[in-house]
Amino acid sequence: MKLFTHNMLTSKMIKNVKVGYPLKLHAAEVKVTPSEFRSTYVSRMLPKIDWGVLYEATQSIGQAEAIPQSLADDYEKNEDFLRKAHHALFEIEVINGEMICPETGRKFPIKDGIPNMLVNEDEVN
Amino acid sequence: MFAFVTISKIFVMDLIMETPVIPNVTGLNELVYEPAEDSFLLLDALEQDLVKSFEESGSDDVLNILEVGCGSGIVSTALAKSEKLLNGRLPCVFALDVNPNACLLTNKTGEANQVATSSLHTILLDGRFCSRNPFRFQFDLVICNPPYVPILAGENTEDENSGLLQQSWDGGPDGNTFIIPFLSNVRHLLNNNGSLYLLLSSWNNPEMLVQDVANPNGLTGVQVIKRTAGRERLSVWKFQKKGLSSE
Repeated sequence: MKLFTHNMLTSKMIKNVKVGYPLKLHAAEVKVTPSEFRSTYVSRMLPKIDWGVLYEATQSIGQAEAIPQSLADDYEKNEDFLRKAHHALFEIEVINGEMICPETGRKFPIKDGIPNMLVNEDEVN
Repeated sequence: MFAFVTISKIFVMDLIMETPVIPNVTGLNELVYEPAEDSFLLLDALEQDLVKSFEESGSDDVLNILEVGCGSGIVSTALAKSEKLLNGRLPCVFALDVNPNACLLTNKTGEANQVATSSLHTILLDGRFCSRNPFRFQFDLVICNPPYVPILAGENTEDENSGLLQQSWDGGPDGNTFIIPFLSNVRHLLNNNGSLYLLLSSWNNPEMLVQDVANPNGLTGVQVIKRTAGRERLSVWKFQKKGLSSE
């Protein structure tokens, strides 16, 4: 699971959960796989990203040096920054671990790189 | 004159959506719904309709796409590579399936077809609950080839793997056990200009679904394409939020 996916997911489909974001992230196994950098794609994606949550995610899985704490103001023209953002969003992958609902403590396992967001019928709204 | 002819040829070729190749992964393919007539009709509908829908799009935002029930990943992969159909918009596809084998195969299909890893994101998630929207945002496109085949209660399969496979097509006694709740809640997944492309069979009574399920839940529905396949008539329908769409 890429950190991009973690940035977009909530647990708000669970009963009584109000925001369900951000999900806490724990990693047992992390893999970094270089992938094609497309500056336009990253640049258009950044307005949708919660940078603070991405930064926290890198800290929580032992990738503390991946990105700066704040979003660069000039990111559209800052290729160095966009490359770092690409790396954090799309190259760092949690292979095994879990995400945890901040309100209920419900765990969502990550296995073989795939986040498991399955819930039982009696858990949902 | 000559230059003009050359350019229009390239233009026509660019509009063709490539049909992805499904790789052979030992122990995986037989546990996942294999692309069939319904999958190919859905691809044809998207190829025809996306060009029309985006030819006048002035936006260059990333296009957020969700496929509910990605199976082999054939549709998600085609969409992740569809930027030429989208008039400059770059697709970002989330592919969901309740079957972990389908999630794994979708990732392999993406790789085998050189999809940029930043464009395709697979999640193990039950389509029955995703229409309550576990995402932080809403989608421009939602695509679904649902379990639609009417199956009498009691026709159960014996083990877990074939049970998961059965969930990809078993639509319950009237074929609509998945479709009705999904269609009733899908507005939560769609942004104001968003569209749902839903594959249906004549067994599902599409006209009834539009009138009794989509309309009361604030959606309009139109048929995009239809085709006869054996005993069933398959069709793809496009649903949009009422009063907000241009069509």
